Amino acid sequence: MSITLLDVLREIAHAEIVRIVERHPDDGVVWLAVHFKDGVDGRYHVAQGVGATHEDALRELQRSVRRHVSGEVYDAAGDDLPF
Amino acid sequence: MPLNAGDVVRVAIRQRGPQGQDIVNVIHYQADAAIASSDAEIMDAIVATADTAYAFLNYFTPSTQRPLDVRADVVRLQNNQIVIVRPLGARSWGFQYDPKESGNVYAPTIAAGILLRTLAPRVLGKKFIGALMETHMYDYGHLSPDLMAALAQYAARLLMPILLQGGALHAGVLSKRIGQFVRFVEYEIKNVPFVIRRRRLGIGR
Repeated sequence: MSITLLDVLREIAHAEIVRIVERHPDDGVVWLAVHFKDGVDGRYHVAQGVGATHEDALRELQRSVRRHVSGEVYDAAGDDLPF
Repeated sequence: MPLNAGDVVRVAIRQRGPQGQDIVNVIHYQADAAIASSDAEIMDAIVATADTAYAFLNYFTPSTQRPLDVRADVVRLQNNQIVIVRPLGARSWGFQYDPKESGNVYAPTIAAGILLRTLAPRVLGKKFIGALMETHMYDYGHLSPDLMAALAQYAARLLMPILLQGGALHAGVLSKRIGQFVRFVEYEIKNVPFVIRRRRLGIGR
């Protein structure tokens, strides 16, 4: 089943979306990023997805968003990457 | 008449805003190969792209805003000025784009903004998407996530190549600064609205 960016953003409905970036360089890779501020702990996150197609990148982004929301990214690295 | 590889097409997408103002977004496209399609076929494809892109904004745009026409010309840089080589045509549009939202609109000087980047430094495109409605602005003047997602879909659609016979049209900037066309490779949508600087007092209200 195909997903849309809106589906991904609905998973962080409690967050404030700061910016959305999508890049299509010539090598055929799609890069998607969502920079958001978590409404619960007030921390900033950058979830990213890379894929051969827009759909692949969206699914990767969805996984990244879930890792950020669950706290896995902060817990593992101690801090998030700067945007 | 076909397009040659490297030909640049200037597309002006025009609407009538809720305060009676003209809202025009201009996008340049470049043919990546010789395109055998007729002018009418090229116009059909351009209008279909504009129509489907703007349709993502149907529920974020006031119903009092109406699509007017899409005009396209083949252009080129001559002495660092953009000149028209020949007109491709003008068409009405708004088959899928049918603004439906009701409520208060903001002053026309502010709009949702899309930043379109190229691989050339300091060569980028900015698209102002209005009219902006109060229901889609949150605290501290931030755009709502729903509107940002719709803008992302809109931008992604505009960046998709327009496929034609023999080649495709790619969106980008016909840059006077570097004297050539460069493709867009990235869009960025921030939650802060853009402010439009009117070019002449009294024009556009």
